[in-house]
Amino acid sequence: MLNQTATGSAPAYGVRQIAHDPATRPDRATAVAFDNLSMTYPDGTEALQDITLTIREGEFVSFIGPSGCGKSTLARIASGLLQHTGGTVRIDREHLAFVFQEATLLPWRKTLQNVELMMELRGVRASERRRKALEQMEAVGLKGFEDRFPRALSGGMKMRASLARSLTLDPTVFLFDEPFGALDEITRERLIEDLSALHREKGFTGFFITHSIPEAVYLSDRVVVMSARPGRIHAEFEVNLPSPRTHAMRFEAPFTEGCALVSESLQATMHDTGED
Amino acid sequence: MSDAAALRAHKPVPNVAPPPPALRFVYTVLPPILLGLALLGLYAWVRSGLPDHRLFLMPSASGLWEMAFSRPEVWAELGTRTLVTLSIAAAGLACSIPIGIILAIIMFRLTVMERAIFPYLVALQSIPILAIIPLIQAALGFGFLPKVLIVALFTFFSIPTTLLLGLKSLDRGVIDLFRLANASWWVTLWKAGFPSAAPALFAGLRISAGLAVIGAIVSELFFLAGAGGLGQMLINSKIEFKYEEMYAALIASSALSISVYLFFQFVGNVLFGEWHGRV
Repeated sequence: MLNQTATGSAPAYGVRQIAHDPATRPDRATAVAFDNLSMTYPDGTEALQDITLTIREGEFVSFIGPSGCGKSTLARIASGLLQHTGGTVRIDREHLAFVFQEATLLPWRKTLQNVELMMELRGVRASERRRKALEQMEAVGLKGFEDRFPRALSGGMKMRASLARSLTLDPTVFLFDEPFGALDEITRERLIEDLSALHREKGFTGFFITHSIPEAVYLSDRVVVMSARPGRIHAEFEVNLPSPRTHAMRFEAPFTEGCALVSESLQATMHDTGED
Repeated sequence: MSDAAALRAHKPVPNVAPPPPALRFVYTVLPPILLGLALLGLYAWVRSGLPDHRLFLMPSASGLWEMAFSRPEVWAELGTRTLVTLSIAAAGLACSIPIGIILAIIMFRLTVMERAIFPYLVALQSIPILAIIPLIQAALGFGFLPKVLIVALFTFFSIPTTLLLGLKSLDRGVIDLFRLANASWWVTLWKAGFPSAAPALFAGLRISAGLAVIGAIVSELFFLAGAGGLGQMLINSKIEFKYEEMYAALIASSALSISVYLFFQFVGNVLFGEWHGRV
């Protein structure tokens, strides 16, 4: 147990390893469930093996692991973009949003029309589209940039537009595939803080793939460490840190020690598979 | 390891002041004018070396003015003939563009169709069109239709190839996005494929534009009956030794070719200049 300095009934803040996939807590329903999921590509590459995991409603779970551990594959399977070859996945794909590493804005559409795109494809009325798009652009801090073409936006602003586009769907499940990986450190920290606030406000279920340990710990209720190909779940960590998270918290012991713990686990998976 | 003797001081380099607007204008506008004048000078120099009985090959500016461009009847002829040539070129493009676009869509939809069709597109491109014009005449006669077919053959290749290339380079992430929204293949083609491929298609259309006018003029060289276009004027004025008029027809045909090119460039810029950058 970390942080045993906490006394009495005060919560002991910190990160601790937990048993693999604890049973669903009775107070929260299941949002995503993988049951013995496996994925073998047509060329025989085994990307995922025996993934069993339950994500509760409103829970924010990060997946971290070495390159090629199949975490992107897992997100693509969850979204339905990719078909798995074994086991089952249970998820509500009608209310799902997926944010990719690239902002994938259509360069010929102005930012507002880009934010409207998913609603447009789902047949939402034009007036309703406009109203919700403007609302979500304001929510992500893009007010005033409606008439810009994507090429006139910075990398961080493009990602904000991509987030706004997903938010217009009122998703209950939000998949993120390394969304901030291509951004500079300062922009990235701002976006992580804003995403954390958005999660607290909207209460969606988060499925977050990342390479960054601090990013995972900052955002998540739970961090899943995966091992290299074929991807398996190596360890799970429960993150218990004050909510809302603060910038200063990043430099305090519960956070930094938690990062160290996840890092050690990640190192161990590399050694297990002979990777360095 | 550090060797003091290897250290060299690098002096700061002050920014060079940007040239004043007047000078920038000179830099951008003057070069083509100067080159044009140099080429005219070269023309005059070559002409000055010609023996008298061959001077007709290279008319002088004054000759062109006196025998052609000062005469209303020459202007009238140039006007009507330009319209004829333009109508042949436009009719040819009106065949090749839709057929090319449909073919590109079919090849994009079904890889097996691409495998089947593409070799024959390349084969079609390799046919020397001039050599099959007599065959076209034999099959279709001497009217408007065979000329349209010739223009269509000249302009066809670059349309399906550039559009297919454009469609295939559609961003994978964008395709995923449309799939997540359960968009149909046609909706994806209409809202993502076409806009994304438009700049590539218009690069092909600008190539076709120039070829369309060339094709129309070449087709007329083989069809001298009836009221023809600029191609017929080229042949007729040569037969009648009116070399100044022939040059006038040449100038008109290249002006027409440039106009058709500029038309497609203009349409392209209106469609996607704002996000893709002007060409």
